[in-house]
Amino acid sequence: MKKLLLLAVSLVSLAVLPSFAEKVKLTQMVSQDWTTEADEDLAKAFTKETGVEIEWQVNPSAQHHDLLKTKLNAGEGPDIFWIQSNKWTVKTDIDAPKNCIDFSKETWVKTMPPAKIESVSYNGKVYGQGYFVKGVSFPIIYNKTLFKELGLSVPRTYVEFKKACEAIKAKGVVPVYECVPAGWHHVLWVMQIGDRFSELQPGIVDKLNANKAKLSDVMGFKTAIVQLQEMVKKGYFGTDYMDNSYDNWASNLATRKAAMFVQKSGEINTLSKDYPACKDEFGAFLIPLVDAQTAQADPNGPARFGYSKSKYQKEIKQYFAFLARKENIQYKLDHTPSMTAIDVADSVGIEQHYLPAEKELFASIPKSKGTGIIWQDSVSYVNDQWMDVGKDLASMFMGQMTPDQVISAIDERRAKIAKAAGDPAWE
Amino acid sequence: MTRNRLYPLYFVLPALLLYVGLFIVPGMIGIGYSFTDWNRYNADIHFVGFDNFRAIFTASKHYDVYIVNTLVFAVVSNIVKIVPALFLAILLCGNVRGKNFYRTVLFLPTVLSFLVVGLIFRSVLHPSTGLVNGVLRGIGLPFLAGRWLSDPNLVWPSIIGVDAWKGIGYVMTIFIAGLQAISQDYYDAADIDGAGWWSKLFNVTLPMLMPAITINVVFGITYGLKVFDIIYVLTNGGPGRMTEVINTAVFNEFASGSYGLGTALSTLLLVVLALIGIPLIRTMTKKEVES
Repeated sequence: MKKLLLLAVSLVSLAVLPSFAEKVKLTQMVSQDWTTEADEDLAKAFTKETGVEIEWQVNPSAQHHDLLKTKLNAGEGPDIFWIQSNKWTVKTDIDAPKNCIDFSKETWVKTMPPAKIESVSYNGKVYGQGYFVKGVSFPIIYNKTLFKELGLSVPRTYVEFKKACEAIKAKGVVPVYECVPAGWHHVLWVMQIGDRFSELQPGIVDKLNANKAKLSDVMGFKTAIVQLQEMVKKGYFGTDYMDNSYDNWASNLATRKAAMFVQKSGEINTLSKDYPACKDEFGAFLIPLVDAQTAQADPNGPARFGYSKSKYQKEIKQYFAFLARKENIQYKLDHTPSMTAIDVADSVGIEQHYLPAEKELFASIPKSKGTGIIWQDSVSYVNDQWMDVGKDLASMFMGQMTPDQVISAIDERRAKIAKAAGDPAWE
Repeated sequence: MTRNRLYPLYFVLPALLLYVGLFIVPGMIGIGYSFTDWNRYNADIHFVGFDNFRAIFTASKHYDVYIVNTLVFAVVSNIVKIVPALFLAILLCGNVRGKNFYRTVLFLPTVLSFLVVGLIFRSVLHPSTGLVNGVLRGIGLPFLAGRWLSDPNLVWPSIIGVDAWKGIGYVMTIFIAGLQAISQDYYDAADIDGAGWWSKLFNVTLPMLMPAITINVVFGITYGLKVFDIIYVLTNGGPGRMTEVINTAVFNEFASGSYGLGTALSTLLLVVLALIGIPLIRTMTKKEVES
């Protein structure tokens, strides 16, 4: 009897074991702030549909890259991982040809616009998937009501911008909220207007990337840095810019302690939702340093990749295809408050939610100017040293470096990174 | 003498093997990597000799300033912590009502994480909205209000002040333990000889407290030379690069993908620690008085 019972238990166990062994769990490693509740909801929906679980591994932003790189180098990469992707980091950061699944033949690739496909590709092969914010990248959000009270119009040149700042300063309001301790934000002023430098010196980007020119040869770049230094000296950032926290930008704008802030245009929503007592209206205009008036686009951004050594490649492809469905892309947009538009191909037919302020911004951009790409996406080895540039600019604000020294330091680091990457243009 | 040993030498083997495997071997490997061009951009690693060390002492990045900052912080922060902690310990070993409460309050900052301390003090020290300047303005001393973390003349004193606020309790606790081990007979004998307070301090307390002083100085110097957390959370090496130290430079090199250069800076720190730490321990242990 006991033997029969043991045999029965063994047979049941054998029958049950295979179903346990089949349960697939995909690990997904991402930096904090790159995903939202919408992404988690979609992962749960995928699990419900397919039974494949998604295990999130969220890293502090300062450590994500090194943690991911360590795992990839050890041959123990997560099934899915994210990076801040552009056409260079796809190779330098994750060595996509070695570590990533080739998605070139997947049908969902065409849901991404051409510039986005380029940012997740290497040598003509598509390795990643990215659906991120669409629109003008980091314009200046400004207090429209205050501007109206002071009789100011949207500045389109640096001179007009200075006049507006002087008028706001005279009113006792800090013209522009800036937060240097964040390390990255104040760099936006000179990098977001990159297409203006190309406008002034056609072909300069190709020369920079071919190591036939340096940033010290880019006239507009030095002008932008000098103008930024002037803004600091004239007090347009107020007196606390070296101590301010990024997190307090909305409260400063909502309470009229400051009038302007360089920020994603979708964040105008934050002002109205988090500060309902604020009755001021907010708009956006382009950063007018060096009289830049080209809409700046950022086709790059956080993107996810599949690990080529994962034993669940079929499930990874399933997940990526699931996320590329129109209804799921729409879900991500509809349930991400700070995102008013998502960067996908027009053929997908997504209903974008541009704010009236954003439509007004698009309408104000001269059609002849078109859309340019931000400097850190078009010039190699600039994004890699973003925080270093931030420190150098902060040193310049303190009077410890000159604009020429800041530019030389950037050139020096570009050369160092290029040589380390084995870039043939620097050999 | 071997006859005094309670356990045979091989009892230490398991711990020694773990220590060698988890600390010594990785340390040696790290030193080895400091002679290579190991970086995030290239999977191949090549031997480059002393190139990384040459870069540290000749590059325009001012690593020499970071080294000086580290040494100055190690010395000054220790003086600022040890001297007041000693007097607090003496005070709280005496006949003071509620001394256990004061000891607890002084020790509490030690258990807070550096991240929490940094976030709190960045708010407290904000020039416009911070508590410190708010109080100073409120009591009629607005001229004392400053840019504590962005003024080049105030940033280092501010960092050392916050570090001292966090660390004094720990140093004081070690001194209290040392003071409690000193026999009262020595003080009675000194009283009989007519010794005053200062005389007892220099002739009885300090010599008998040498083991505790050694511990605090050695730990303090080691901590000071390896400092990272308090600087990272308060200023991240800023304003600009004014408060960069060796370990923030190591962190920045690793963050930017220059792993070879980062390990070279770490190796340099190891050499500095050894050059300062070994003679310091030898000198201070010679001065210990056997009770």
